[in-house]
Amino acid sequence: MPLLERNGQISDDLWIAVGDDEDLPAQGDTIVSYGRLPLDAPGRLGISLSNDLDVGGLDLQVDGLSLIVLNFPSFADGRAYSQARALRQDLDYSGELRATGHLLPDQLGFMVEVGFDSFDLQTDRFPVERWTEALEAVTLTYHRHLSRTGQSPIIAARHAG
Amino acid sequence: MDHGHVLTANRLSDGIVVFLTATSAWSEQIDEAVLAREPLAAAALEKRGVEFEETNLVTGAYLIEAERQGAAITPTRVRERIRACGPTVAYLGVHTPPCHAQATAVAA
Amino acid sequence: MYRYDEFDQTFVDQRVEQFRSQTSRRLSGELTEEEFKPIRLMNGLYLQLHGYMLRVAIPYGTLNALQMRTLADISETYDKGYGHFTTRQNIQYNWPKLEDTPDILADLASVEMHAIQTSGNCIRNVTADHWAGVAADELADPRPVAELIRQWSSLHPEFSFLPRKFKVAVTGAPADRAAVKFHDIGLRMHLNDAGERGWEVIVGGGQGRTPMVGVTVREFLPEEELLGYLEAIMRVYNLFGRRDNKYKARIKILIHETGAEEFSRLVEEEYARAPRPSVEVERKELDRISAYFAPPQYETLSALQPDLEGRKLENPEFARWVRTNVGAHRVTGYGIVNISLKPAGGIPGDATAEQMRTVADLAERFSHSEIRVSHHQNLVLPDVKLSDLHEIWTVLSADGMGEANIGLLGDIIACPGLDYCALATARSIPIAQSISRQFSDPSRLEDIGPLRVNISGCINACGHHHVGHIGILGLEKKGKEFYQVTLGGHSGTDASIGGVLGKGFSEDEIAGAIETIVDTYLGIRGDSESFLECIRRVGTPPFKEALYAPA
Repeated sequence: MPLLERNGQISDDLWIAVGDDEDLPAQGDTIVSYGRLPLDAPGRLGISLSNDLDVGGLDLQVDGLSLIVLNFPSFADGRAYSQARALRQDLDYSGELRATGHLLPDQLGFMVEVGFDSFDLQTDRFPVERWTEALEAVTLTYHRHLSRTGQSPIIAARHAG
Repeated sequence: MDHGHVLTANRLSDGIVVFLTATSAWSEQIDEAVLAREPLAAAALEKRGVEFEETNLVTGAYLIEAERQGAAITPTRVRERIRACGPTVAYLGVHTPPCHAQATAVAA
Repeated sequence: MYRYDEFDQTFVDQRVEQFRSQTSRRLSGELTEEEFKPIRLMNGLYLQLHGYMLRVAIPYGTLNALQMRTLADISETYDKGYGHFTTRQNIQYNWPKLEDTPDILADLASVEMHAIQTSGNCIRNVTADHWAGVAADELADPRPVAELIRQWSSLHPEFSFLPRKFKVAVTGAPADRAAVKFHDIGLRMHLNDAGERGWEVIVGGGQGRTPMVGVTVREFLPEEELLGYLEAIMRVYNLFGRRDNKYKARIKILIHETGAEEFSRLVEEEYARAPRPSVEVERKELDRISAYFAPPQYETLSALQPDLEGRKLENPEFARWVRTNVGAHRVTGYGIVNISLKPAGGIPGDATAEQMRTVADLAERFSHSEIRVSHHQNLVLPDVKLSDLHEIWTVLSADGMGEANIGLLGDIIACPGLDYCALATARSIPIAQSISRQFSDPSRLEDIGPLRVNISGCINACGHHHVGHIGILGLEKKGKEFYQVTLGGHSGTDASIGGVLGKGFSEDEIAGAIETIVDTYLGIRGDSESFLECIRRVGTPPFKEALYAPA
């Protein structure tokens, strides 16, 4: 399935998801579940976090991680938004943050705001431009310190200087 | 008196309550609905409902229990009687619909 | 009152265009109903019993005359010429079309209004004391903080897909008119010894099928820390609130199951961990918003109003209306006019387009163009000179809004019930109508004194029956509606939840049962003892005896 990046690029997903019972492949970039850490990986290492983990309270070493995948089992389940924020801000994670599961183009703005970089599009129901348009639909937000600039664009503009 | 099921839904574009007729059209009048008296016929109606939802003409299709006496079809439950007929209270500028007297008479 | 700046306006305009595109994608079939539902709900559009229903946000119940006129115009252009003011200070239209809704939202945006987050599992429209800024007993106007929360909660990515809906109420007065103990978060202002404002944070109150009085987790939170602290509460709820059962998904259940102390510990831990908004920026932003709520230029008026007193002597009906419907204003010579949308036999909270325009005109002429919506489903003109009362009363009376029953038995709260609502189990409006007809004599109402009758058409309690002095809950059994009665609920500072009296009553019996309860009270009340005080003194036995004992 195609991967959408925050800059609007569509690419192929080259990461290998490894099940909990499977051995790691001899080479390649791999994604394992959080429970398998610590682990020596053949290439770059990514982890997948289930959405009921209190990420901010985890003793997670993010330094060796190149990718963290967060799950949206349903588009109505918003836990991964708070997990993303905690990874970025409480754990200072700066690698790639990816959303997977039941995603809708209409939610991409929210996802970008809390720090997601890439989106695992598990459906071809929507034309590609629907996804890329959605990245630009909402440009103004009120929320303090969520974005990577550390400030709400609206609050910053109001109190510039 | 015939007892059975009627398929109802809301029209997608304006939300108005509609009922499936014998000619596979949607009518705002419950009296024009097709009444399925057998479980198999009711199941067939339900299947039609899913098809119509997929073509985005209506939304939220479901079966309701109803009775037909002469030309009039009356749902069994209070909720469905009000849904078929409109609010039982006169709202501003609009009088209580005539079917309401009948609906509450059954309710009483 | 607050006015949009260019950012607020662009934000809402973008949202309208986004919904226009989403609506067309739904109509074309690109979006399924399942996918579209949360999107339309986040824009206030429900699918109800008879069709779509649009709930428009009236932030903290404050609007101006132009906005009220637009609400009237919308009701005529796109609906059936009336609207319903709700217990959350919003307005609902009962008959909009999906295909018209983007245009309605655009009309609203043109007067700085929207329907964002009036539904869905997100932070709903923030409510406030409907006398905010003008009440004689108030410490300070709570609306700057309400507006701060409105903006912060608008499309907040972390809090738009919560386990369940989330309601916030604020008050700046010691007398609680905003039911802050019955909200997911209630905020009550206090002043410290230095005269600085801080907020008591009350969490986990609510009604619905599990009514609970909220618990205080912070006694005095400095104002600049408010959003940071609210974020911590919301995060704990977002991560740990139950998602397996929608009836157990509200924050009150999380607090109940976790324990208030442990919940509070989790919040404090989260608050200590996460970065916080800069206190300096928050102060600047609060000051910017507060400037919009600066009081108008009041005239220096005399406390003595010989002309008003003369009018009252001439006209006992006017005198009664002044007694029952005009509240104490903090400025001498001014009053707070409460407009009853509860005529005897009427639909609580409904207003026609014509009535909305009448109120807009009165606000323009006599109340600095400002109007409030109360959670009792009435309207308020907050800044009225006492010398103008007679003319206002005359105009209101001519348009069916002169009822002298604020806070009295005729001032009934009722949800739309089964006449409109898809979730209802029984009708509420006809019950309100039969009770208000039965108790239509204004002198009798005044003799009975303060008495709140609240009616819900199902266990979700939108009609606030748990906090009615007399609460009525409509249920259905074997195809028939029946009504359960509770006594002793109250949503004020000394909040309480009503207790069920006994077996329910039919539609035809309910007004008679209320009559029996009231007669019992009149027979046993002490000197100037209110209905609520009486119930709290004697409990329910005398009322049960009167209602259920064999004749």
